[in-house]
This record gives sequence, structure tokens and C-alpha cells, in this order.
Amino acid sequence: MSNGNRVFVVDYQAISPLGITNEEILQSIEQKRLCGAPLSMRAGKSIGTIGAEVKAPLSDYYTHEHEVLREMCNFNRKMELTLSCYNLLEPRLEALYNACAPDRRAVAYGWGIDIVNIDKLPKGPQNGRSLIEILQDHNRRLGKINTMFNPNDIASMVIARKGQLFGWQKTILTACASSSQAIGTAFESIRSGDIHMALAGGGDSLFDPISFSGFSKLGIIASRCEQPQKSCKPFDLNRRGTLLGEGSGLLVLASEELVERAGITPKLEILGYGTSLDGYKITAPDPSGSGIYTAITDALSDADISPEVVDYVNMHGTGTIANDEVELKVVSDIYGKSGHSVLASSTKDRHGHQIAAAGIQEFIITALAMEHSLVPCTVNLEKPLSAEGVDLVQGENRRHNLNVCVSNSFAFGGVNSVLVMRKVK
Amino acid sequence: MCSEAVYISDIVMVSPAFASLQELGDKWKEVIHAPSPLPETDDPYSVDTAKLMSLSLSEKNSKAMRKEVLASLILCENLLGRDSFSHMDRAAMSLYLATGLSFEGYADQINTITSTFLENSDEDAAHAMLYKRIHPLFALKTLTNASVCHIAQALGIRGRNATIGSTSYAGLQVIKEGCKELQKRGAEIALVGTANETALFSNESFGGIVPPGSYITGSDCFVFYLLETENSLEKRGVDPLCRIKKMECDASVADLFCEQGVSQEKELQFYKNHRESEKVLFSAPYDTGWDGVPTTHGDGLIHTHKGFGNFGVSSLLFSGALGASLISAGETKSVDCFDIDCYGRLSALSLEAIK
Repeated sequence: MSNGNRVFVVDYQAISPLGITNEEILQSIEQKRLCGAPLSMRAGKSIGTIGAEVKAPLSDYYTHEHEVLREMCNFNRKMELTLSCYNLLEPRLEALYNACAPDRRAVAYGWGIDIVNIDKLPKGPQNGRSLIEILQDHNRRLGKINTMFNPNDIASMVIARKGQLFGWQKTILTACASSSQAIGTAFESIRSGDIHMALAGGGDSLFDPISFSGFSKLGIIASRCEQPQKSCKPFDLNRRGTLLGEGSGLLVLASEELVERAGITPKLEILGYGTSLDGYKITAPDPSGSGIYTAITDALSDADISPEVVDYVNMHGTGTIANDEVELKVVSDIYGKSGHSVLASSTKDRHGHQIAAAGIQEFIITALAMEHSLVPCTVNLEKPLSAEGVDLVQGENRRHNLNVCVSNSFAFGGVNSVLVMRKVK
Repeated sequence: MCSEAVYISDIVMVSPAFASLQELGDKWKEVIHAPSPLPETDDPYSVDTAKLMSLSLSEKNSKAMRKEVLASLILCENLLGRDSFSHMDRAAMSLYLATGLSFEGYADQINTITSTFLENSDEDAAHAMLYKRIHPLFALKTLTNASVCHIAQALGIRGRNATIGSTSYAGLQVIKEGCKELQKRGAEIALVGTANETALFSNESFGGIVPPGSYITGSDCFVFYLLETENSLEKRGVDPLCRIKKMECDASVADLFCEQGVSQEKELQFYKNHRESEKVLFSAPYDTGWDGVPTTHGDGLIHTHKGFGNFGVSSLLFSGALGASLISAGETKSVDCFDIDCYGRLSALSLEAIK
């Protein structure tokens, strides 16, 4: 274990297909709500596929913002999800902000690829102009920000500026592991004493015509399903692919010293973080699972705990053929050897795979599960893959005291990221 | 001050700036290594992708990569190929990359599709056409972490990692991450780098952030450092180029809605507070029209980006590479490299000679 300051999660906020308050998300988990549905976007209608969208209207959460930000939110869904998330959280940050100097606060934010949402551009004759020329015509520049050409760290900068988070800012660009790595890097920075407080998370949406078509073409999405809610079946023998989702989320992390100074009761403690590279293929995880094994064992070692004390693993569990088999095998190898059976599930069948926001979404769901002693089941799991020492929770949620939990996040290209958390006693 | 010394043992870089650097003489070539043969270019800001492809190990693979990925892979192949590392060394190596994340690398694929899409009055037909014409591997070409993953795959790196965006401030962050690996996590070798690909889209993205009256010309620059502990250097019998003396930053973000540029007063105060060395290398976030090769401004100040355009995320590592070159050539005992990014965040990297 790395010696250093204890790091607490004192609050969290998500914008999710499951809801936009912690209470709504908890209720959705309890009710086993599945958000897969035909997409409202035009591409969804014409291509005939499905996804898990955030249906809640968000514009009320940024009507007071500068007109450039409002315009940016209209054009860039990730920005809309992010700004709404921060603005919902901000009123709860006052005590911490008052107790922590700006140069001891930081933000780490996972972000997906910025593909232009061409559905938002005016239709009509283009006279052979390139995409950039078209965008230049519609760009508005007010102050320093362009509305159509957003640098990929614009979300971190907006959050940093709003919260005076001037210790450092990091935009993590690691695809499906982005927000998990953002949490990991913020955790390590507080533990080492570099900063006292961080907002860590991520935001992503692929529901624009180009991104969505691109991901659909990869053949990893369970599309054209007669029962959209049932399309994604993590760890099922009949799994056919994942369900794309969208969302955003932020954890509020603080050092023990700051928690005491601000008089705040923490919700959880982060104990460890591990990350590794498969170095196998861009398109598939290493079938040997060695990279995933390294990330999990490094995280447990960093947390100074043995596998048998882990109560529950929130799996990456995408519902794809390649990921689920390898992940389950490695989890079985690590936890099965300890002689106890670890509870495990994937919740992607409920809220979809949110790519850069997947890690934060699932961390928050795990945190809610720990707070409320509720193990979320994989709702659509009917015929589970077998794995010794892993109790795949299927069909029904379970009531169980969860003291130590692990969240797995693995990315395209073979980036693995694992976080270990513990209930604060 | 670093708690345990971290050394820069090797540097590789590719940039059109090489052509101008040659006017400084040959000494830099002994320190800053480049792929051989050097991909010459007629464009002062851009490295030719086709010429890069001719240097790659696999033409088939290289065609599926955007320029940033291709250049990063070639540089790391060059770096690790020159230094003898065992399979175990490579597997344990950590890898941190800061990327400018250019949109340009795949814009060509969607430019024509977009025009056709927007001109089609039948929206359902337009979407169906778009779907049909998107290449199956398009999503993989856009992957933000593609460089790190291709490097890991080709060179057997399996360690801790991150891909960070997107301005020059991220350059300091990857060096800090590399140092943390060596100082706090027991690693002995870390590979850190920055990849800035010139692109019209990037120029537009950051164009609003430069001070009034200035302009920005993005320029290709790909730089990788090998960071090592003293123990690792001894085991390998390698002499380092220099030692990392200090890293400092002021990460306060400027008002995003203010028309004024970054405060020069703040910038100068930062330089004043953190200057310790005889030589100071600094980059600016925008090109104010200076031309020529890096020249001394008097009082030991060297503007490293003069006439090269903006190296974006690679700015600080480019200055650091020149600084390491000056130290290794015995021209100075230490250098301070300063940078300010387009959000007003200031970075300082100080390097010093070993003896």
C-alpha cells in the first residue's frame, strides 16, 4: 500500500439515463429499470437501432450561463451533460470550497472524442465545402471560446473556472477507461498531498450521426433487437453486444484533513487504484487476460487488501463476446482462489455503455449500492457463463452489506483501470 | 525539488523545426534523436504523413493510423530500439502521452459525406447514406488513446498509463506522472511524450483563445523522453543527458469569456519567481510573427518557438529537448523551460547537468 493521506468520497452527482438525482438513480436500480429504447435521434430512426438516452430535459440547469456556453450545450451533448451535472452539484460544494484554497483544488475529467453533431447544422446546398468550412460559417466566437470548435479539454476548463479549481486540471482521453482513470489520478494526487480536494469524473455521448454510425459499424452493438430493453445481456451465453448510453458524473474527493476542517461526513473511502495496458489488439482484449489481471491485482495491492475481503465487483461487463468471457475468467482467477464467492454484476444492461463516462457512472452506482446495502443485479442475465468463485447476481437485486467493493473499467485498445472503495465506518 | 533524482536518459523528436535547428550546428543531433532518414518536408509546419509511413514497420498497419499515432509509434520504436531493454523492462514500463488530439486525421473521411448529408432533403435517406459510407474501422481511427495502445502493442509496454489532453500544460503533467512512477511507485523507467499534429481544426479550436491581434499556426511536433532512476542507469551502464531539477506550475485558468489575452504581468511574475538558471527557454502560445531560428534574446533568454509555429501540447517538451541538448553539450549547467498555454496556465521545467 502506498502510504499517504486517506481519500474520501464526500458527494457525487450523475446525469444518467437512470435519473439525474441520486434518489432517482437509486430508485431506478431498485426497480430494475432498463433504459434501452429506440433512439430519438434521426440516425436511430433511419438506421433502426437503440440506445440508452438521458431523457430528462437539461436546459433548465444552464439557462443562467453565458450565451456561449448555452450555445455550446446546444451543439455539443457532452458539454450539456457535463455542465448540467456540475451545476446540480455546485450548491453542495460551498462548505468544501470555503475550507480549501483554490490552488489545493483540482479537476480530472474523462472525455470522449469530439465528433461534430451534423444533425445540428442547417441543411441545404453546401457547394462542395468541407466540414471545416461549413463549421467556420456557423461558428460564433465570444470571448475566448468558439462555439463550434471546442478544444477537448473545454469541459475541464469550464468546471475549473466555475469552481476555481486551480491546483491542476486534467482531461483524460482513454476511451472507456477515461473517467475511471480520472478518478484514479485525482485519488493519487490527494493521497500524496499535492491537493486536498478534487472533482473527478467524466462525460460522454455518442448519439450524433457520425459517432453513432461509426460505433455501430464496429459490430459491437446489440442492435435491431425486437425487445430493446433486453438487447444487452452481460455475461449471458446468448449475449450479442453492448447497449450504447450517454451520461456524465462527478465525484467530490477530499482529504481526511479537509473533511475534518469542513465538518463533512464522508460517504466512502477510496483505497486503491490500478491501471495497465494489454498491448494486444486495438479491437479486442488480450484473451489471456494478463493486462486485466495486472490492473486488478495492482489495485488490490495498492489498497493493501486481499481478494477475500472484497464483497462486490461492479464489472465492466459490456455484453460483448470478447470482453465478458475474459473479464469473468480473470475475476474468477483472482477472487475464486481466495475460497470465498465474490458478488459480481454488470449494470450496463440498465444504463448502457457510456464510454468515457462509463467508469464514473458505475462508480456512483456502486457507491449507492454500498450506502443502501443493495447489490444491483444484471437484469438481463438469464444463462450465465460459469465462473468458479464468482456469484453473478442475476434477475433480482440482493440485500447485502457491502463493505469493500471494486469497480472495473476497460477500454478499447486494452487500457485497464480498476478502483477499490470501502464504506466509511 | 524531486525527492529522488529523475534523469532524462534519451530523447526522440520529429518536427519540421528540425530543418531550422540544423542552423544551430550538429551538436543537437547528438542529443535529440530523430528517425532515420529524417522525413524532410517542404511545409514549415507539417511533417508529411506519406514520408512517415515509409519509416513505419508495417505499411499495412500505418494506413489505419492517423498521423499522431504513426509519428508516436515510429519515435518510440526508434527510442526503445536504440536502447537495449529486456522484455521484462518493457513490460514494466509506464507510458504517459499528452495529445493535441487532432480532428484532421479522419476529417477527410467525413468531409464529403457531410456535404452530401446536409444537401439531402430526405433526412432518413441522408442518415442511411451516412451509415452506409462510414468505414467500419472509422471509430477505431478516432480513438483518443490510439497512440498509447499502438505503442504498447508494438513494443510490449504493459505498465501504468494515461492519455491526457490537450494543451502545452499537459506536457508538464506527463513529465510529472513519469516522475511519480519513479519516485513513488517503485518503477525504474517511464516513457513520456507529447504528440501535436498540426490541423486546421485545432487551429480553429484554439483560435479564439489567443490574445487580440495575434494568430495561431499549429505545427507538427512529436517528442518522447525516457525517464530513469539512477539505479536503472547504473544497471544499464548509461549516462543520462540531464537531471530534472524542478517542476512548477500555476494552473489558474483565465476568464474564458474575457476578450483580454493572458495577463503578461502574471506571466512575467511567474518567470521571475521560478527562474534559477542562466539560460531560460520559453515558448509562447501564439506566434506573434517573429521569424528565424531560436536566438538568444539577451540575458540568457531563448525563444524556442520562433518562426516554427505553435507546437501546442509539445511546446514544453520541445523546449526541454533543446535545454537537454545545451546541457549535454556542456554549454550550460542548467536551464529553465517556461511555457504558458492558451488558458493562461503556466509551466516551468528546470533541468540541470549531472556533475
